[in-house]
Parts: sequence; C-alpha cells; structure tokens
Amino acid sequence: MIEIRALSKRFTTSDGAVRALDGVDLAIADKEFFVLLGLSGSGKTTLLRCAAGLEKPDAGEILFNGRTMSSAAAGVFVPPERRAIGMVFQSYAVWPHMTVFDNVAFPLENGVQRMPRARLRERVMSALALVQLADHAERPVPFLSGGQQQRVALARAIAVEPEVLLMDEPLSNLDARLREEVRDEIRGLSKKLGITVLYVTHDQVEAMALADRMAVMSGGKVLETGAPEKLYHFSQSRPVAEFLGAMNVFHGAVENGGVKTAVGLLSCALPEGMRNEVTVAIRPEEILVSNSASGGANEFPAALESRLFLGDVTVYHLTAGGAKITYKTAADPGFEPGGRVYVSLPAGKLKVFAR
Amino acid sequence: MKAAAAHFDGKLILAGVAGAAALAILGLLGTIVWMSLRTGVPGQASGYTFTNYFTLIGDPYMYRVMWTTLRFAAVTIGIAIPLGLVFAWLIERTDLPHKALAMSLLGIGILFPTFLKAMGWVFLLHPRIGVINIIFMQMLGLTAAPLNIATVAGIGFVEGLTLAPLAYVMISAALRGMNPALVEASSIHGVGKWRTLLRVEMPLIWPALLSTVIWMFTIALAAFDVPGVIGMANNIFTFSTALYFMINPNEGLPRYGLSGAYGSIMICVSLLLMLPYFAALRQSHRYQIISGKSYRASVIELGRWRAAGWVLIGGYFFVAFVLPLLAIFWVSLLPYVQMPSRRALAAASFERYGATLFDSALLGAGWNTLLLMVLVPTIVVVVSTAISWIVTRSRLRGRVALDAIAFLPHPVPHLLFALSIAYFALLISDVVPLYGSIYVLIAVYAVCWISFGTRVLNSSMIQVHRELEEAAEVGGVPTLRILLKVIVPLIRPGLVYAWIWTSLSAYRELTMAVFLASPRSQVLSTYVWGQWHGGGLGDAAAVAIVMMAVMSPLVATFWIYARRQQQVASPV
Repeated sequence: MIEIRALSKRFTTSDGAVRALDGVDLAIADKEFFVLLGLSGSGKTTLLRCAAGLEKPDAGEILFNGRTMSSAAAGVFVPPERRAIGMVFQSYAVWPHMTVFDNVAFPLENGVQRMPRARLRERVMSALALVQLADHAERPVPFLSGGQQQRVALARAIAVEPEVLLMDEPLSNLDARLREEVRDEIRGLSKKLGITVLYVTHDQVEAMALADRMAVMSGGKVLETGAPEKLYHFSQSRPVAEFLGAMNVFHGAVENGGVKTAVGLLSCALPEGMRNEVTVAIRPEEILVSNSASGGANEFPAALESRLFLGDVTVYHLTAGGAKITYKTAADPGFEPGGRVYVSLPAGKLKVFAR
Repeated sequence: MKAAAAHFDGKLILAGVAGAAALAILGLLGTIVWMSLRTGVPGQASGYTFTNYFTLIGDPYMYRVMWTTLRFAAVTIGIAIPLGLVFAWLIERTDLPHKALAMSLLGIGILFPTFLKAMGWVFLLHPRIGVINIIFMQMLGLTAAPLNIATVAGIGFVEGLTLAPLAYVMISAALRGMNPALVEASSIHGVGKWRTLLRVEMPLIWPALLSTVIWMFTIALAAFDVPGVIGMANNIFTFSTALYFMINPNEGLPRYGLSGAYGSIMICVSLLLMLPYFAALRQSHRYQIISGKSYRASVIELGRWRAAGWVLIGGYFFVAFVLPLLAIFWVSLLPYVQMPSRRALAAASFERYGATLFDSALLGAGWNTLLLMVLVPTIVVVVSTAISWIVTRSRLRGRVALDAIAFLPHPVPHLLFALSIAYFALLISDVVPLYGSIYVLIAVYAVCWISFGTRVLNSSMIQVHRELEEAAEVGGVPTLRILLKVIVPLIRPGLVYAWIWTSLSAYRELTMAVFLASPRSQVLSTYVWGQWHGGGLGDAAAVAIVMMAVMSPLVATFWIYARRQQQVASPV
C-alpha cells in the first residue's frame, strides 16, 4: 500500500522555478498495478523518482505499508535501498560492461542485501528464469536485443524481491511490435509475483492495457484517478477524456434539459450544476451513422468528406452544421465520400463538460 | 545527490579531494596576487604596497617586452593559423588520399618536446652556427648570414610551426561538425564548389577560427620553450622569459614582488581573453549539427592538386619535425658544431653518447622524470575523476564553480603556477622543507593538468547515462563502489587517454621545471636546458636525441590508442 500526501517538488532551472509536483495525493492498494499517465513535463516521472527516493520532495509525505519513507515536515527521508523497491529505467540502464548474470547479481553483491554465493546464484537464476533469460546468463549484455536488455533490467529489479516495483517508461525504447509483447509479459509477471507496481508512461493505450487503476497527470497535479474503463467512458474532465482517446466535441448552451448545438438540440443526461455554456463530447466509435434517417433522438444529416481505411478499422470524416465529426467503425459500411448520411448520437454515450 | 543521505560518506571523500584541488588552484593564483603586494624575499616582514605595480608601469623595459611579445604572438598566429586552416580543409573537405597518415604526421609532432625542436632550429638557422646559413653563404658567396632564427620573427616562426597541428585539430573539429546540408544547399542551387567554399563555408567556420586565434594568442603569451631556448641567449625577451629572468637574474636577488605584479597582470589578461574565446566558441557551436551519424558533405575533388596537397603536408612534416631532428642528430655526433662535409663526417661518432649518458646527474634526472611520469598522471586522473563526477553527476551546490576553477590552469600560464608554488615552498621551507624537491614539481604539474584531465573526463562521464548509476543506487550500492565498478569501467578509454597524455606531458614539460628544478630535482628537460645554456650544445643534442628515442614508443602507443578510441588531442 502506497500513500502519497500533498507531495510537492520544485526544480530550479535556468528559466526559473518549475513546479514539477504540486500537491499530489494518491493511494495505491496492495498488489495493485498503478499507472501514472501524462505528457512529458506533467510530473509523472518526478513522482516516481520521489517514490524511489532518487528525488527528495519539498513538501508532503510518502508512506509504504504505513511506514514513512519521506516526510518533509518530519524531516524523514529513507534512502532508496531501504525502501524495498525494484526499479526499471527508461534507458534499461543495464551495465554494458557486465554479463547478464552480473547485471542481476551486482546489487545483490554490493548493495544492502548481501548474501552467500550459493543463495545469490539461486536468486539470480530464478529471476532470469522468470524473464526467460536463464539460457543467456553468461552473455555480455551488449549482445542482447533491446527487448532482452529490457528483460535483464526487469530481472534485476525483481531479484531484490521488492515490495514495490517502480517502472519509468520501460517500453518507450522498444519498437511497436515488441512493445506489446513485453507489455503483456510485464503485466503477467507482476500478477504472478503479486507485487505493487507503480508504472510511468505517456502512452494511453499502454496505460489502459496495464493498469488496474491509473492517474492522469498534468502540470504537476493529478487530474483524475480511476480504472481505465471508468476514465475512458466516464471521465469528469475533458482534458483527461481527450488524453485517453479522440473525441468529437460540440459546443452549446443548456436548454430544456438538453444542449443546443450547431447540429441541433442534443438530449443527454446533464450532470448536476451544469448550466449555460457546455461542451458535449462523444468518442468516434460511439456514434452511429446510417444511409437513411431513423427519426430517433439526437439525429442529424451530415456530409461525408473522406474515408480512411486503416485495416482493423475504417475512419470517416464528416461535417455537419460547420462542425467536423470523426466516425470510426470496425464494420466498414462502405460509404462513398461525397455522399449524405445520418448521424445519431446515443444519449447514454454523450459526455457533458462545463466550459 | 542530496537525496541519498546514506551515501554521504563516499560523496564526502570525493568532495574533499575535489575541494582540496580547487583550493590548491585558487591558493596558487592568490599567492601570485599576494606576492605582488609585498616586497623583499619570501618570509621577510613587509607591509602591503602597490610599489611593484608602479615600478612595472614606470619601467620602459616592460613595454619593450610587451611589444616583443605581441610581435612574437602575431608571427606565431600568422604561421600557425593559415597552415592549420589549409591542413584542416585538405583533410576534412577534399579527396586527399591517405588521410589517416596525414593526420598522424600532423598529430605526432605535437607530442615531442618543443624545446628540442627549438634547439634544432638554432643548429639550422643561427647566423653563426646554423647549417643552412653556412650553406647559403658558401653557395652564394655572402659575407653575412641571410637568415637569422634569433629574431622575434624567427622564434615566432618556430612557435607557429609547432602550433600549426593544434590549429589544425581545432579548426577541423569545426569543419567536421558543420552541417553538410548547409553546404549542399548551396551546391544544389547551382553555386560552384569554390564559391561555396568562400561564401558559405568560410563564414560558417569564422567563429571557430576566431576562437582558435584567441587560443593561440594565449599560448603565445605563455610560451616559454622557444623564446627560452632561442630568444634568451640573444636578448630577446617575451613575457615568460622576462619573468624567468626576474626570478633567475644574472646578478642580484630574485625580484618576487615585481614578478608577482607581473604575474597578476598576466592572470587578468589571460582570463579576460577567455571572454571573447567562449563567445566565439558558442557562436561556432550554434552552426554545428548535433547528430554525429549524419551523412557527409561531398568532398572537393583535388584532381591534379592532390599531389600539391601532399607536398604541403609532407613538406610541413619534414620542415617542422624531421629537419630540426636531423640537425640535432648531426650536432650530437660531432666533437664541435660544424658544417656537414666529408671531413666532418669522418669525425662523426657516437662517442659523445657513451660519455654523456652515464653521467650520474643525467641518471638522477632520468629517475626524477620517471617519477613524474608515473605519479603526476595518477594524481591527475584520480583528482579529475572526483571533480568530474561532482561536476557531471552530483547536484552539489557549487559544482559549476568547481568546474570553472578546474578549468583555470588552462588559460593561465603554467609558469605562474610554478612561480607561485616556488614562492610558497620558500615561505614554508622552515617548517616543511619541500623547496627544491621533486614533490614540488609533482604538485604543480598535477594542479596544472587537472584542467586537461577534467575536460577529458567531463565529456566521458556525460556519455554515461545517469540511470546506470541510479540503477545501482536503488539497490543500495555505496557511491564509491558505484564509481569504481560502474563508472570507471565505462569511462576507461577516457581515463587511459588522460593518463598517457599527462604522462607524456610530464616527460616533455620544460617551463614549470626550469622554474622549480634544483640540483636535487633535476629532470631530463632541465638537464638539457642546463647543458644548452652552459654551452654544452653537443651534449645537450645527444641527450635530446636519447629523449626523443625513449619517447618514440610511448608516443606510438599513445597515438594508436587515441586513434582507436577516436580521442584525438584537442585543447578544450
């Protein structure tokens, strides 16, 4: 269980002070796979490094299983090696002058957890077996592929048998195909070992695939926390919803229990306290498009501008009432650009944000 | 890093080593300023006074020295820069064949002692004993020598020849880093290659050229070898030799106060010169591409001029290196200096070598030199590692200042450090009898070359990803162990390079040694210097030849290693 309370961290750069973390509160459950998602500069890596003990926060507290790791007010700061963590770095950070075995063994030989030779060997080999690198133990790491090097880093992190595994964009240096493969391995391994994982990424697909729960960060703050499905479908804030996937947006004003927009009056469930200017949004795969009008609610005609075939999905660009609309479907209806179609927006899928 | 409180012990040691080195540098420079404000000999009671500065300003001799130094620097730059520019252009921008050989011919010359080459030039172009002069006089029936090396132009010429390879290295770095797209954009739009050279390439390397000129100027201000070997005996004094003369006058007491004032002014001048130097350097970096993997600009085809290019490079190597070496060798074989002739050849023998080489003073000097060659680079590498680690890896406050201090001995003339430590050693000689011992030389060499060591190691360490260190830190590996087991193995090429270079420098160093050497701390260079100024030209020549011979395998090893590691000597 990781608790983070009112954590703040400021950096001084040549352009003045930057608030890397600005009062972050988080609670991560035991054995949870928790992902920090955000663009670069959002503070997610700083948060991870504070949890690791590689950065010292200016204010706030970090607790692991009820033990204070860092508390600016109380002047407590536990160094990284006393936090029972394992860490996987973005650049792999495998030591290029050592073999696979030595990379995993080095912290066990020289760090806080020294142990007899035989036990060390056992520990290293079982960690390597977990990442399917037992056969490569005596290889120098520069001879391994990127994916294998990343697995060495993973083995090194789990060999210390950490309570918390911290991962800083571990997949960003791998190519697209390999990324998915290693991603699934990481998820499987963390569940098998039953450890708490704090994982940083800027890739929303990766985040959703991995996370039990995730936090979307921006400007040093946590915008929203929740399970991937919840954030994707029912996010409270437009930036979070847009960060997780593309959206069609319609600006309008609240009127008669609906929202008056350029494509007509849209009826939808209005959250409490929503009045005047609002934005209605819907994901491209959630809208319905057909050749003929069905006469249902939230339906309007649109001009079909272009069609993009992407293999697994087909994307259409439409315009209606001056607004651009994207429609994404797995079952390609084969509409021809230049034609006229009817768009209907299921009321249950519409999200309304204050403007 | 302040975060890892548990590793404070290791960091404390590193910070202590780095801090001690920084203190030594600042202390030695401070001593110069301090001695400038006092009169009398070290340790003698005296108030603080500006008398020395007033004496200096009122002394017409100083203005003559200044004028001589400026002319010397101008000739040096006038020789070194055009040669360096042409070499850089030939090697970086044309299809000159056998470029690796060309680079070796240019680079190896830098490593051999400058004062030995200067001696060679005396044997070649001295109005009385210069072999070339005598040949000209006999052939053309002249009554006076047509060429005289013992002039300001002469010493500038020799200094310029020895600095040309350095100019080449600095300029070619700029040419290599230049974005080839800038040149190709010109060619593609139909501008001819020669016009592109003049209108695009030259303006682009102008800042790099300017920074090289400034750098050459600071070197010329501090140069001691050539003015010392050729100029001093002929009453031509530049800044450095005038300073030497103040401390080692023919008669009377050393004038420490005056030399301090003089040194303080030199410190100011050399530091002020760094402002335009770094401004120009920044400007030239702005024109460079970051990525090293980029394609190369197409080279200019020299065609029939290829041979001319090689004549230039080969000619340079012959004139700047082979010719003076041959002259020294010739003199070393003869009982007295004479023209090459059948009669002289009959008299030539290796007799002198047997007689001089087993002189016990020479053996002592050899032993001291060996000590310097082992201890100085070891100290430099250890201290530089500590400093570079703090500068590039830690977040300790003051690391930027530490880097700047470690750089100071680069622009400030080394002879000032020697002067300062001599004064300091005299001051404390009652308590710690170090004055005149080899340890003083070891200390001052190490202090001065920390600037070089930190430049090399800074760039090595920057290339080691910080996460490689953090990965060990997370596992609780102590700082010093991370340094030894992770960083040191990864920067080993830089460490070895810095070690060998410093060792070679300790071998060839004359300037600091002549300021400090006493009868019990003679080194090879001061032994040769003593023979030379004591009139034993032939003995000096014989020892010089032996020095070169001993050095050759070391230079070859260094060169092969540096080439393989792609670390070619560069000053900053």
